Amino acid sequence: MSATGNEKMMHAEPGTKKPCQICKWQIADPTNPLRGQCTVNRNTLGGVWKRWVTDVNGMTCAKHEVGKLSFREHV
Amino acid sequence: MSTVAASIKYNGKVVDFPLANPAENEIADEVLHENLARPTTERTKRLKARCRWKHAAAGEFVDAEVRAGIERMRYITEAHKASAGQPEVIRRALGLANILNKSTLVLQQDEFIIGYHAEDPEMFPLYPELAYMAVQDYLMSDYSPQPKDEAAEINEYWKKYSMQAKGERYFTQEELLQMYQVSTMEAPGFATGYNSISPPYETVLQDGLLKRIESAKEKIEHAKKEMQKIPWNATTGLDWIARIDVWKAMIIADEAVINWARRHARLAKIVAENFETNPARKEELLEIAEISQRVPAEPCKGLKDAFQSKWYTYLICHAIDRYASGYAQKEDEMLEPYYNISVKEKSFQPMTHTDVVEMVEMERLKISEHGAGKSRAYREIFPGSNDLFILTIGGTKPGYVDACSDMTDAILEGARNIRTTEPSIVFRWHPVGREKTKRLVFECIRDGLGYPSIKHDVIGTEQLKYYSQFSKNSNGATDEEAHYWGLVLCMSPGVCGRRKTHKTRSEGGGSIFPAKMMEIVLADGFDWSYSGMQLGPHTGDPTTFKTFELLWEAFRTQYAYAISKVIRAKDIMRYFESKFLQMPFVSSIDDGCMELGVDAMELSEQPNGWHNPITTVVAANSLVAVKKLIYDEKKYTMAQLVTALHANWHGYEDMRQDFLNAPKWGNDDDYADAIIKDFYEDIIGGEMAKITNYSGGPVLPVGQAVGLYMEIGSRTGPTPDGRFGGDAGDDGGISPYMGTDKKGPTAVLKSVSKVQKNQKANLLNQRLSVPIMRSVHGFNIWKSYMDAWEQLNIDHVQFNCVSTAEMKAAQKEPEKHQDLIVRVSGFSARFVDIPTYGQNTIIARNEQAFGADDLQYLNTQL
Repeated sequence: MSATGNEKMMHAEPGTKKPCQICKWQIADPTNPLRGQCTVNRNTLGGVWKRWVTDVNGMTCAKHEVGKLSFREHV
Repeated sequence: MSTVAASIKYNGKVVDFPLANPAENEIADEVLHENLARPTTERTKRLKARCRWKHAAAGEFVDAEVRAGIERMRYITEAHKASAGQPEVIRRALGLANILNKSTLVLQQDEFIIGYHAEDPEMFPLYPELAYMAVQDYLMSDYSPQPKDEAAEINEYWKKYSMQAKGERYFTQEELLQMYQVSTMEAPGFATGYNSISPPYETVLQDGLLKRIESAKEKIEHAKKEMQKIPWNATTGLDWIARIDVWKAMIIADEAVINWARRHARLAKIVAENFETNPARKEELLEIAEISQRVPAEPCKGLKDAFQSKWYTYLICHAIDRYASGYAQKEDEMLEPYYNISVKEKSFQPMTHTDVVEMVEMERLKISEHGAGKSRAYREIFPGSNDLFILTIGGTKPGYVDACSDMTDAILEGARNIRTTEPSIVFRWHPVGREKTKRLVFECIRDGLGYPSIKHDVIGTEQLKYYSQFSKNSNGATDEEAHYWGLVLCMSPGVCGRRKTHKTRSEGGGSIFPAKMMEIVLADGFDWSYSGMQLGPHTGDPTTFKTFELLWEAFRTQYAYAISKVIRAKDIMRYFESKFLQMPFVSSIDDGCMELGVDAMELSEQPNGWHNPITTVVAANSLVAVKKLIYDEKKYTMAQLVTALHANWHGYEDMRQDFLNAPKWGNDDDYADAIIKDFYEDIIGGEMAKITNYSGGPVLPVGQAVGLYMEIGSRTGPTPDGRFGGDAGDDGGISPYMGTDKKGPTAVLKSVSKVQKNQKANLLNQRLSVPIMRSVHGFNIWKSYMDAWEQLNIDHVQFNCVSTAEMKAAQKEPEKHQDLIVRVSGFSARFVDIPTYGQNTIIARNEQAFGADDLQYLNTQL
């Protein structure tokens, strides 16, 4: 699958039970730990096209999966 | 079996490439680097085996045992509360003293160079006085300091006092969001705490701290007498107040450092006399105790003293008083006098050259174990390594006389033998440099360490003379001092020595990202692919750009906006550093600060302003493709391009192939190179040079990449060079994009040599053929390449010499490839500790073989 913009999928949902914070595709923002980065968009050559998560506790999407990926699977 | 390079016909004869070491014929390509380490002694073999590496990748620590300590943050907070009401510079000194007086000491088996900066060798300290967001990130991690409640309380206390709180006030919320997300601009130092410094080690080694204290006391006495003069003159008299406080702070700091070193001496003595059962180690511990009793209080008398004194100084300047990345020093020249005393004269701490190599290996392992409490951004961008620990050797003395020595050779031999990712080494290349040393440089590169990276000695030296003319107090580097330089971090030269060294990253460092800017230029400054916000000025709908020049100017506008903002952020940081983040210890060991009574954060004698454009080549190749296909040939319209990019080229593969196959940087292509040369010199360098920073000099670009070419690539959508969204950027400041340099190594040199104006430095990454470099002709080919590189006036080059077969084998079985080191960009890394995304970018780099045409151009004698 090639990477595509996922703005339609990721959305604000206050009080969500599936926040990006606990999703395996999310990794912390480089500067502000209350924000994050979504890495679900990956292409066949190993590219990871990130999307900014402005509120890791109040956003979610349909691809939410609880967990944590190894550093090898991130950037 | 090992691969042997195919024979070639050159100068009318067939040239074969048998391996220089026939025994390697029996070693498979896939495991070569697991067979190259040869620690000099059993001790360094043991030290390497038990080294607590603190490699990070994707923002996490690779070793699960690594964690943050609490002692430093506890003691600096305790001192800050207790010192309320005192002058700020005194408070800083008291903070350092409280840490040094109370911190737990670490003394480990087998060590000869002792000292650590946290309470446990698995730990590293944190710095809540810098950026509370960075500490909060640790508190939310698996490696939070404990007790966590106490750490959280400390972080809360510092929020209002931190550099972050102070710096943020002078930016709008929109500006902060633009910088903090790290997509067009690196986040400012006040939000990350990241820093760099070149400590003036030489004063500590040559004078000792007791003499520095004496100097400060004499200054205070003099100041008091000046203030007592009759008649009183306030216009000069009041200046003494701040200076007296600075000198007093120096004394507090230096006394604390001496006491701390002597605590180590007592500990070593206690262990020797009460616990150590091995007579040889007992004797060694007593010698260690004697050394720490003597230094850094007194001048160094031999080489063991010098290594230990330098290490204590390093810990204070880089980790205990304040975090700073780097290992900046001109190590060979600094240690050479002590080498001569101990090895040649044998008049104090007598030892052999082999003993020195062992000391070098032990120092390398100390650095390898050193932990950096840096923010997540900087745990992301040096994947597979610990931090940017980089020392400099080689080069010239005044008059362009060779500065290489037997100490230089010992440093290289130790690095080659022990094989660690850190510290990286920079070798200053000059034609007068002795061949014996250059052969050792080659051996390190051939063995795949990725270092030494090579810097052009004349370019670096003349550059420091150029900056000197802007000195605010007309006391910049003299022509002689300009020869004594080392890299501050990966790429930028800075003066070393007793005075005028680089003291803070707010002078030089930090990044901006042209690839992402290229993306937003095509969207009126809006970032549609990562953050969904306006990242720069509105530069117009690109479909209305009737000429290439309009696109060019739109890019210039975005770039100028970003570069002014990041330099403003650094200078605002510098302003507050001089008022609330003084460095009394650093000040005490700088001759200028001591003479003038000015803190090291405030005093600027030698300007050294720079900033790092990273991913420039993606933007440059994009401009070339757009000019050719849209404006020159008119094969596509800008509207078509924008549509294809927003679809990530889906449904536009033929069009993508056209853009991908447009001329690319690094092939000595006149069309591409003319545009790209202008891009570097007119926009990247030209716009940056218009800025004047805190030190009164210009800011110039230091093109490089570190691991940011991966991070920024993953935050950048598709670009007109044919790249997909999320693919990595280019891996060096001026390196061709991975896999696009198809005309051989000399074509790369020719392209790169065209960029000369308005640059401070530019990183060139090249990957060399393993079978050729390990052949009997390896050195001669490499040496002729380096001579051509030097004559073309190219600033820098660094090499990978590792096979694809071995890297792919390591991806399959990482546990079997712990000694496989690669050059990422500006630093070397353990390959298996790099995320797969980053590993693939290294595999994708072209492996440069040398054909007959290349050898002809290089005039290689085989």
